[in-house]
Amino acid sequence: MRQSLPAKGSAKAAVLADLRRRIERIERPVSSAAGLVLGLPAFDEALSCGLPEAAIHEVIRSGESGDDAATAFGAALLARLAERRDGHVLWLEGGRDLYPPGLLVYGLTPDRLLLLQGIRGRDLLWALEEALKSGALAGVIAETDRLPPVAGRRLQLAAEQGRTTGLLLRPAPQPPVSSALTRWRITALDSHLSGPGVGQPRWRVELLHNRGGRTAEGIVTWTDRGWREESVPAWGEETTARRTA
Amino acid sequence: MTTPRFCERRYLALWLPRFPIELWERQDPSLRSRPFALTARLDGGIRLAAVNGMAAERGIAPGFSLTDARAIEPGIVIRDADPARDARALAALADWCTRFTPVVAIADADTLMLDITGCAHLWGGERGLLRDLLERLAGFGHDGRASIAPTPGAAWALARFDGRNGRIVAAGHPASLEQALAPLPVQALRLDPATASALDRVGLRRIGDLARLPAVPLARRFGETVVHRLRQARGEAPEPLTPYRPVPPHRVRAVFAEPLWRPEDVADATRRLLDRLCEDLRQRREGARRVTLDLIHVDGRADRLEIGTAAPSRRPDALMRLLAPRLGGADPGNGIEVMVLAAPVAEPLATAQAGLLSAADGTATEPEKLTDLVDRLDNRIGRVVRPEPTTSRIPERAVVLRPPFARTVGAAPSCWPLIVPRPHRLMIRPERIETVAEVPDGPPVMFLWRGTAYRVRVADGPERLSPEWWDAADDGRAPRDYYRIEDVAGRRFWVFRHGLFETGSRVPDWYLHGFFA
Repeated sequence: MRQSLPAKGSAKAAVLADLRRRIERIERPVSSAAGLVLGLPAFDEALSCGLPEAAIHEVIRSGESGDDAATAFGAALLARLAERRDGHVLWLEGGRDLYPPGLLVYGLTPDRLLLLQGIRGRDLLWALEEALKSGALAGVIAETDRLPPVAGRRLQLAAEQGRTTGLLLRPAPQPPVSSALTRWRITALDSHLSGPGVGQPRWRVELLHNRGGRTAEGIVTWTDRGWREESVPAWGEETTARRTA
Repeated sequence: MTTPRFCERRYLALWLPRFPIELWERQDPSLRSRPFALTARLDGGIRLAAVNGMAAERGIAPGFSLTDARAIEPGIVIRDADPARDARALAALADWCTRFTPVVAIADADTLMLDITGCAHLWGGERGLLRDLLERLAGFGHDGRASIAPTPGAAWALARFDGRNGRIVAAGHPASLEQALAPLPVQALRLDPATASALDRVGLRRIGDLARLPAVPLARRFGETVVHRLRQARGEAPEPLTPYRPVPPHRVRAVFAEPLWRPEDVADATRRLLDRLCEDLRQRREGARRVTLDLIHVDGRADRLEIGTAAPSRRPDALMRLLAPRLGGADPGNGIEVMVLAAPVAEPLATAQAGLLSAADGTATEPEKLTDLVDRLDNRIGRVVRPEPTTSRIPERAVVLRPPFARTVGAAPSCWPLIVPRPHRLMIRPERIETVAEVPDGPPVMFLWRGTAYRVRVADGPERLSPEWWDAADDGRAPRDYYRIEDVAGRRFWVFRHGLFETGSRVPDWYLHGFFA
C-alpha cells in the first residue's frame, strides 16, 4: 500500500492525499485486509495480497465440450472460502447435474454446501445479489450465461456490502469485460501418467484479467493434498523482482 | 333424567335452506325473476332437488319429477345440481365465517356450526353478532337461519325448526334450554327418517314428549341414537366440533371499523399483527415455521397468504420481509375489514437462543442471517437444499437433497468414496454413446457423443456397481461397469457399460454418465 503524504497543514497536500486514496480505492476496491491466499505462487504474486474476498470473480469455461475443469476450480475456491470463514457456501445451479460426492475431493463437504437448482436469468441475478448482500455466506457461486453490465456493477456492490465473495461460472467464449475484479480461465490438460490409469486432474489456469494487478498463467495439478503449481511461467521471476521493490 | 350439566360454551348454528339455488342466482341474477329448479338423478328418474321462490309459488316443490314440473310451468329453467360445487362454496363460506370465530365446522351439507364462546363482545353481544352475520349473508344473497344455544345440538335444532329466525337460548339457564327444545319436532334431534317415523307412530312427536320418558326403555325400543342425540342437545353428553380448518395455536386478528383499502395501511396492520404474534410465540418459547395471513374483504372474499421459514422464527422484521412481497400481490379490492395472522406450524425456540441470536442492537447474527437468506430465496424462487450422503452405492442414489436446516437423517459424508473417484457433474439421464473397443470386454478406445468423436488416451476401471436388489426399483436390472476415461485433449469422462458381456448374445450398451475435471 502506498503511503499518504504527511499532512503539513497544506490544503494542496491534503487534496492530493485524498485524491490518491480515491484513486487507490478505484484501482483496487479492497481494504488492506489480506484476501484469500491461494497457495499457488505465480497467482498469489500477481494478486499481491490474495484474492479479494468482498468482490466478484469470474471463472470462464474452456469452451471444449466435455471440459468442465472450471467447475472444479470454482469448487476448490469455495472450499477454501468456506474453511477460512467457517461458514456455508451457496451454489446457484443452472441445471441439476452438479454432483456433490464429486466435489468432496476438492474439499467442499456437503455440510457446508447449499444448493439452489434450476435457476436462471433474472431469478438467478436476484438470488445472487440477495445472497451476496446478506453477508450470511462464506461464498456464492453462480452459473451465469448472460450478465448485463448494470447487473455486474450491482453484484460488485452487493459483494462489498455483504463482504462476501461471488464467483461467476461463465461459459466460453470469453464474455465481454465485466466489472468483476478478476477473470480466470480453466482448461483441462492431459494428466501425467506416472502409474497405470488416469492420473491426477491437471489444468491450465489463466488469470486473464486482474484489476489493478498483473495477469498470470500456470499449470495446476490437483493432488491428494490440494492443488500444486507445476511450473513457474518464464516471466515469473522478473515480475517478482518488480513487486518486492 | 339427570339434571343437565351445562358447560360454558356458546354455539351458533347457521342453516342455509336455499344455498344451492342462491349460488346459481348469485351467478345469474336473472334467475331470481323466473321459475328455476335444480335437478338430480334420484330413484331412477330425474327429480327436482331444489326450487326457487318463483317455482314454489306455482306449487312446484323438491321431489317433483322433471316431467311434472314442466307440465305445471313449461318455462321453468332447469340446471343440474352440483353437490361438489355447493360443498366448495360452503367451505368458502366457512372460511369467511372465521371473521367471527376461528372454530367453524361444517355440520352438514347446508349447515355451519360456529363456536362463538367469548367472541360476541366484539359485536356488542350475541344479538349483535347474530344480526351482523345474517345481514351480511343477506347482502351476499343468502337466506340464513341462525340460532345460538349452549349446545351444538340445540343450536342446530332451533336454527331449523324454530319459527323465529335468530333464537338465542340464554347461557346458564337449563330450564330455558329445556323450554326451547320441548316444542320442537323429534326430527330436530338429527334422527334418520326411519327412527323419526317410528317415534311418530307411537305418538312421540315433540322433543318434550321424549324428555319425560326414562332413558333406558327409550334406548331399548328406538335405539341408542335417540337418547344420545337428546343428551347432546341438552348438554348431558359431549359433542366436540371438528373445525373445518384446524385452529392454529398462535393466532391474532384485527377487525377494522373502517375497511382498509390502501396497500400501505394493510402492510402497517400486518406489521402490528406480527408484533403481537411474535410476542405470543415468545411467551410460549416457540418460533413459527409457517405463517398464514387471511385477508377478509368487505364483499365476503377471503384471501390467504402463506409463507414458510427454514428455521423457527419469531422476529417480526424477518417475517415481515417474507410477507411483504405477497402483500404486494394481494388486491385490497373494496376494502379489508378483518385480518387474521396465524402460525399454523410452530416449533420450540429457546428464549436463551433467541436472545443470543438477536444482538442487543437489533442486527442479525450469522446463523440468523443465513436462515433469513434461505427464507427469502425459498419464498420467492424455490427450494434451497443441502445435499446429504446416503449409504447407497448407486451414483444417482448416493445423495439426497434435504431442507437446509433439517436434522441429518442420512449417513456421514465419509460414506462417499474418496478413494474411488466420482465425477462432479452427473447427468440426470445417462446418454447413450457409440463405442469402439479393442477387446469386447474392455474400455472403449473411441466413443461418439452428441455427434463428436472422442479418442480415448487412457482408462481406469472397471468399477462394478451391482443393482441393489433390496430396492424394488432395481429388480431385474443389469450391473454397470464404470470406467473413468481421459481423451487425448485431457478431458475426463465417466462412462459405463450396461450389462455384462457374457450374458446373452446382445452386445451391451455404453453410456456417458458424468464429467471429471
